Amino acid sequence: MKKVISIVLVLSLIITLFVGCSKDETPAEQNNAESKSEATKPEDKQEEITLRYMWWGSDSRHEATLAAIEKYEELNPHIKIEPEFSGWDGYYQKLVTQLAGGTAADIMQVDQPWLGDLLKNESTFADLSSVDTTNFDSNFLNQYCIFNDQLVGVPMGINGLTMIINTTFFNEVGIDYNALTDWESIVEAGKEINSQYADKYILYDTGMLFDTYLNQVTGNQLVKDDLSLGFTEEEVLKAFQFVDTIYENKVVQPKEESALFKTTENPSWIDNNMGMTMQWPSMINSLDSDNKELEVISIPQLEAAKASGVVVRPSMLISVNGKGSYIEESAKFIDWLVNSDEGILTLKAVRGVPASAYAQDLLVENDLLNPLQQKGVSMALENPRDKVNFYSSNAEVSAVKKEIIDKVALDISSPEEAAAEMITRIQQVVDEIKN
Amino acid sequence: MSNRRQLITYLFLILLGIIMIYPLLFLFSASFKSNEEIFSSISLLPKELASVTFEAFRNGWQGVGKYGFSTFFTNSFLITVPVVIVTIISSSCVAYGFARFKFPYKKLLFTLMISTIMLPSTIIMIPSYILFKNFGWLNTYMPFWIPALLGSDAYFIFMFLQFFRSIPRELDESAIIDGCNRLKIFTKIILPLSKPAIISAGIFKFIWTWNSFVEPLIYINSVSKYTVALGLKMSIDTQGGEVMWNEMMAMSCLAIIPPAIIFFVAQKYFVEGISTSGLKG
Repeated sequence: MKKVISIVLVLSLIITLFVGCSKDETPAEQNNAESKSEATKPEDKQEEITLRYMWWGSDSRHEATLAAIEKYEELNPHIKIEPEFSGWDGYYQKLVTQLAGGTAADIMQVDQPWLGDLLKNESTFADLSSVDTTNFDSNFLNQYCIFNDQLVGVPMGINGLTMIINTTFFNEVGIDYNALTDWESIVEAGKEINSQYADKYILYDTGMLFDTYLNQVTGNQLVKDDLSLGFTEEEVLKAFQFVDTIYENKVVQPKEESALFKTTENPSWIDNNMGMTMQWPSMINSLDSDNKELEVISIPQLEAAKASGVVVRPSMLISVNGKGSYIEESAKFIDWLVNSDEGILTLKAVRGVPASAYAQDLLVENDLLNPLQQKGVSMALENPRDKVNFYSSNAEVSAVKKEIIDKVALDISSPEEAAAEMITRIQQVVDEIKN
Repeated sequence: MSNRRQLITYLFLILLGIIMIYPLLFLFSASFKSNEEIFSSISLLPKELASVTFEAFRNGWQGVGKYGFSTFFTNSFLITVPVVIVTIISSSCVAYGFARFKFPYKKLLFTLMISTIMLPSTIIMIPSYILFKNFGWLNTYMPFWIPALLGSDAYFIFMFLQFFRSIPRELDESAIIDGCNRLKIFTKIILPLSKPAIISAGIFKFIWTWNSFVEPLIYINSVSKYTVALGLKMSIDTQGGEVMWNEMMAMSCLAIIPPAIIFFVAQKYFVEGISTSGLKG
């Protein structure tokens, strides 16, 4: 017993010592590389640089990105890139914590809707004008990536809303999906299908129907740039009536069932019991499975629609930490990723359809891009709506909106009550933003 | 009558047992299924029994790029084992102080210590993050080891304290007569008698540290330093891309093995009482 205790005590002593010693080393591993560069400067012509690159994704994206990093390190022996990858959940929280704590990576993948919140602090992201953007659509860049004349992020991909069609489903129920270009015909066809097959629904509501419909009704932002509401009670009533109709008539799966699942995991979709869904083309690979054939068509329109409702946006941006020590080197790496043949071909389409036209063509030539994805994106780009502004995609606005839509879907509120509630509650949120 | 009652009791217990263990069995069986099957059937047996392979385990273990689950498991042990050891040492020392010594402001200090039990860990997350950042401890395992070394777990201190209080002071006194000093009393009398408390603290701390997700998530950046919990989350991207759920399930199965082993090995002591063993001699 005595021995055991003495061993434990000695061990604890050693650990304490070890802790004390390693204190000095750890900061060097963080992003302050001053000490490091000083140490290596005299010997090397080019100083050793470690860049931290953080992104989210799934296995295929991780693998392709790691391969690209490896290639870049080969081409530039003095640069080492430390990968920091993870899944989507918790990524934003981590990013915000790190930005606030001043420990963010040098190169970061960010989602476009976050910019509104992230750019409140000046110099969060460095200006990336040194990256060659001649192959990118300049309108697109101006709308989504340039703020205060600074290119705060380079788009890694383009996404645009499309309808993804499960042709296997439509063959089975014997309906021609090409005729479904307006909401009314979808509702009619949905009613018919559900009366024949009780567990089949024509439409899969992933939560994006309401916004699209409302945009087609109003032609406006949900919350305008001057912080006034972009809809009247009458207009929003129309949208809620639409929600009510599709749930009442079983055009979509009852909310009680669909609320349990995230998009790709819904058993009804997997088992070919749903016909079409409004989605981003980047989701095509995960919506696909062995037992179905997919197709894309453009989003159904309203008669006399004031706008198309088709959101087009960067699927994600790649940005550089404005407070990082190696802004120039980071920008060079990004330039290589999006513009060099080697970079494009190693990254493939793991971040959706590339935003640069040159990269798109190169990938299609090499058979590395799912043609359906390209088709979906180009379809969406034909007739996009205005960019969704930051107020409309504000987290609180979205939460309130979702709650009220759910109430209608679950038959707790009538469309009239919902419309009145929407007006007062969104107004409350907007008032808070104003102050 | 009593037989029948017993039968009903057993039936009820068996049914409850099945309900409780079903998710665990599903987890295991799901590692042999395809993505579509995982979400569309609740059967434990995969549809095509002939094609069942351990591929999910093999592929999952390899992880992504250079870092596989051998790295993540090593990292998890690297955090958990020292943390468990130093927690036991530090908590029992502090508890010994409170249990057997008289010192100024003892009551106040004790109240302060106990009040930290009530503090939700979410509240101290931001201050501790800033503190560790200023120490330069981010992206290392210091934020796990050092607080444990300094007895930051008031819960375990309290547990040890209650335990020590139940050890009769007469034992201390007789040890003093035999020529023991305070440290010897602690190491030779109190600690050996507290085996059940030490083991319970060890089990709890092991399982909590092993399973903790938020702390590693915010303190660790490099994938090479990820723990198992982070490694599991690494590939789940619900936005796009396909998630290989069967690999995730396979690795989850492996991830619960260490805590399960610890629990089953130590459970004998876990439930053992002190009162009898303490007064034997």
